[in-house]
This record gives sequence, C-alpha cells and structure tokens, in this order.
Amino acid sequence: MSRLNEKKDYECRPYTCKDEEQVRALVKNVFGDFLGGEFWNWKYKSNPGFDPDLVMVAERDGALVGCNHWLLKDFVLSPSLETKAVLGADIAVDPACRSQGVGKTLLHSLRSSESVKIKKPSFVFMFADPSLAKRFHNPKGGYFLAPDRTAFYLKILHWGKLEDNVRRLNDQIAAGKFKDRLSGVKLNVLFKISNSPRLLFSMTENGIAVGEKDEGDVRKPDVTITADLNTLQKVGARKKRYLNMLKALLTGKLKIRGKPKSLIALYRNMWILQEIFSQKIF
Amino acid sequence: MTGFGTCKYELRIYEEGDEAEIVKLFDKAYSNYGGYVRKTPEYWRWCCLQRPDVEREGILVAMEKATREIVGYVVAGKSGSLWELTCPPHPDKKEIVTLLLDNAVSYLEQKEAASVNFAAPQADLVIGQACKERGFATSAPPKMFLSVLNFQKLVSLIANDKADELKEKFDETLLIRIKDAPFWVCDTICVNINRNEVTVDDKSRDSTIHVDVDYLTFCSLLFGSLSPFDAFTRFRLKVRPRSKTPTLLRLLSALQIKTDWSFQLSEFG
Repeated sequence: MSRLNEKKDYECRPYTCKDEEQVRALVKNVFGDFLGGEFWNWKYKSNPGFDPDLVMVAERDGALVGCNHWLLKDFVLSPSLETKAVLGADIAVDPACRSQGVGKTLLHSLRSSESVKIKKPSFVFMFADPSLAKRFHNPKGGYFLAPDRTAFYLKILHWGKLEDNVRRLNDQIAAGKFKDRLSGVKLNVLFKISNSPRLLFSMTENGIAVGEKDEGDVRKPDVTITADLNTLQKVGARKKRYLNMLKALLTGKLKIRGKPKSLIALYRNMWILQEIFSQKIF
Repeated sequence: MTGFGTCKYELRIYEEGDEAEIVKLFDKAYSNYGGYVRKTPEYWRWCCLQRPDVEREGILVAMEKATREIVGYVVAGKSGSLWELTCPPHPDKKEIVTLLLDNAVSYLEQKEAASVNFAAPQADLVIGQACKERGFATSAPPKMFLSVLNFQKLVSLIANDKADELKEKFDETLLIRIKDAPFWVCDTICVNINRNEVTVDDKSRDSTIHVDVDYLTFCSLLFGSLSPFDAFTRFRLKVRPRSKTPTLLRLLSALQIKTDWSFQLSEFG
C-alpha cells in the first residue's frame, strides 16, 4: 500500500469505526441528499453484509478526503454457479481534492488490500453512468460492460420535476439574466410525449409558463412536438444533442409541426427548451 | 388494501414473515437467470423492507384467493422505483402482473411520485406486454459493469461446474497468458483437463495449447459477451500451436457463462 502512496500527500488506509462521522459527511458532501445521513446508515451500517475492512479511506493531514465502499455479496453467475463478489459501491472524493489521483488510488488500494486477499471475491460489479465508466472506471479499474439483458420500463405520472426546472429558469429571467435573448418572444409549444401527460409551454419575454394540457384547455399551440420518452431524453442530453435531434427527425421518432414562422421562432428560442430539458425531467 | 384484486387473485400489504415465501418466489422467477445477488430472508428485509423510501404499504403481495398462496409481489419506493416486481411463470401471470402494476401505480400516485420505473428481464414477454398495455415506455436500463479480481478462482468455478463435459471432450493442458493484466490479477492461468480431473492454477508449465489474450477479451469471453470465434477472427487470440486452434475455440466456448443475466433495481445498494 505504501508504494501506491509514494509522492502523494495523502494516505489510503482501511476504514475504522472512528471514521464514521467523517465518511458520512464526505459522502453527503459529494452526493447531496441522495446518500446523505439516513441513506448511508441504511446502505452500510444496517447492511447485514457490511464489512468495515472493505471500506478504504484517503486521509490528508488527519482529514478524510476520499472513501471507497465495497460490499461482499453472494452473486449468482448462472443457475448452477454462485460466487463471492463485491459490489463496488460509493466512491467519493472531496471536490477540493479532485484530479489528484485520489479516486484511482482508492480503487487500487482496495484491490491490493489484505482483506480482499483473504476474502477472495472473484470480481467487482457496480452500476454507473456509461460515460463516467468509460472515463474513470474502465481505464483505472479494468471495468467492462456486463452481458446483461435487462429491460427498463418507465411511466411518467406528472411533470413536477420539469416544472421545477422551469421555476428555476424563471427565477433567472426575473433576475434579468436572459433579458436580451427573450425580447419579443411569444410562442406556445405543445409536447405530445407517448404515454405521458401532454405538456404546454407558453414562452413570453416575462418568463415561461408550463402546465399539463387536458382536453378542455383552449390555448392553441403554435408548434406541436411529438416524440417518445427515449427520444426526448436523447435530444435533451447535452452530448451530441443536434446529431441526435437530426437522427430522430430523419427517422420519424421526433415530429415537429407548425407554421414556418412559428418553427423559425422555435429554432431561435430552442435554448429555452435546452435549458429545461438538459436537467433531470422525471 | 385487502380485497383489491380480480376474481381469482387479491392483493394485501406485506405481513411479518412473508419474506421466506417472497425469497422462494424470487428464486423461482430467476431460476433461469444469472447476474443478481442471492437473497436470503434477512438480506431481503434489509434490501427491500428497510430501504429508506419503502413503507410497508408499498409492498404488495398478490395471493390466489382459493389457496392463499403468494403468486407475486411488488416493492414500490416512494421515489417511484419499483425495487422488485416478481411473478414466476404462472398460467395467469399477465393478470397477476397487471394487478400488481395497477396497484403500485395507484400507491405512487398517492405519494406524488413523478414517475414509475422498474427493471425486468428482456426475455419476460408477459411483463413486457402488461407494461405496454398499461402505457409504460421502455428506456435505457442502468448499466452493470464488472472487473475481475481473481481469474484463477473464476475459471476454476466455471471449469468445475462443467467438469463432466470438459473431461469427456478434452484432454489438454491450456496455458492462458493475459498480455495486459492489471496489477491485481495474475497473468497466467493453467487449465489442466484429463479423463480424471479438471484443475486450474496459476503455475506456468508445459502445455498442449498456449494462448495469448488481452484482459478485456478474456473477460468478454468468460462472461459470454464475445464468442471465441469472433475473438479469433478479430486477431485477439494468439494460439500455439496453430493446429490446435479449433480445439481451443471449442474449449473456450465450453468455459463461457452462457446464461442470460438480468437484475432488478433492488440490486442497487
């Protein structure tokens, strides 16, 4: 382990119960509400398989700057085959100490730790965003995509999160942030997303109004956008947005209908929808 | 909640002690799959019942009215995730899944969840059909990634599981060298197969077949996401002697995990 920490001003060592408060605070700082407090207690402290020896912390001048949690599990490989494997759970690095190799050292320290040598898990499995896995987990931890055949089903019940995004944008508009860009805007855009409540955006220079549109709603849309949820997510993502939009338009997965004047207005004000859809929408 | 249901099945809220039946039901539903964590009643209690966003009212159990037998269940978290939705093969599976889905959605609407989402095996066409009829869209599933820590152990497990087949078809000593092995794995694997036994170790010895392969290719071969033939035609296997190539391809194929993998959202955590 000392070899791994050469020329580094932090040290990786196994977790002890004295670290609990600092680890919880670090995880809360990095992941926010998602894993803070109650969630950490459940996921680790109350976990029947929690083994403190499989948690590694990075320490600098007495303060924890990173941690990596592994959880030992009985993993089913096939109907007749079962093995000990570890879930590569939360890895957290203090934002002030990023890009200094702390995450990589934590990944490597656990792999070469005494407890892993004793417990002999066959492999690590974990769930991650594919782009993060490509950037970090694959080159640093030798991770590869599992041969998985899982389907994921989704149904939108309401657009509350998207309305929150609009509220945040309106706050910025009220603070005068987009004053020039919004000048003269007046456009109603109806989203018909398959199997989801219809959504009407009314864009004016004073702000954006958004709401679910029911049958009795008399407001007429200038532009109607029809798509499925998958397409909406791809077009909303920041990465390759225009390429995805072009592909969806050409394959008919995304349909945009309206008078030429309205379509030009939509094109000019596309940034508004991008601001809203690039954040979490459900 | 008791009394919600169809003429043959009814739903009730989870009761203390159901977990033993629930775990049996899960095992039955996933008996043809791999890629998930083995559940015990204790593990299930932690994983579903004690999960921070799960209330008892969100765990619904479907029962056959006549026999009081549990035929399916769903664990709905207030965040909108159905952590588990399980129904093993059954003549009325679609009816049971629909009953569970409808009531889970109603519960989540009451809790003001923005969406309902869950994972199920792609091959489960009944769940797929029930979801389609209930207006669910399919979306990209969460991605599972693997990193091998101990090749010898993994190959040994697979080889012992398939020992009868291997002993019958092969009489070889296969030496595998992993060219770019990360520092935490041993770069040599020796699989010795004869009529009496199959052994796997990390000792380099005289072999009848020698293969050089890179880490990712070997992992993909073991976990069944790449066929040995494809690996060979893409020049990712260097075999000596070359005359043994067909034997090696058959041997690697026999050492692959070929089971479909599928997981539910409860695997998170």
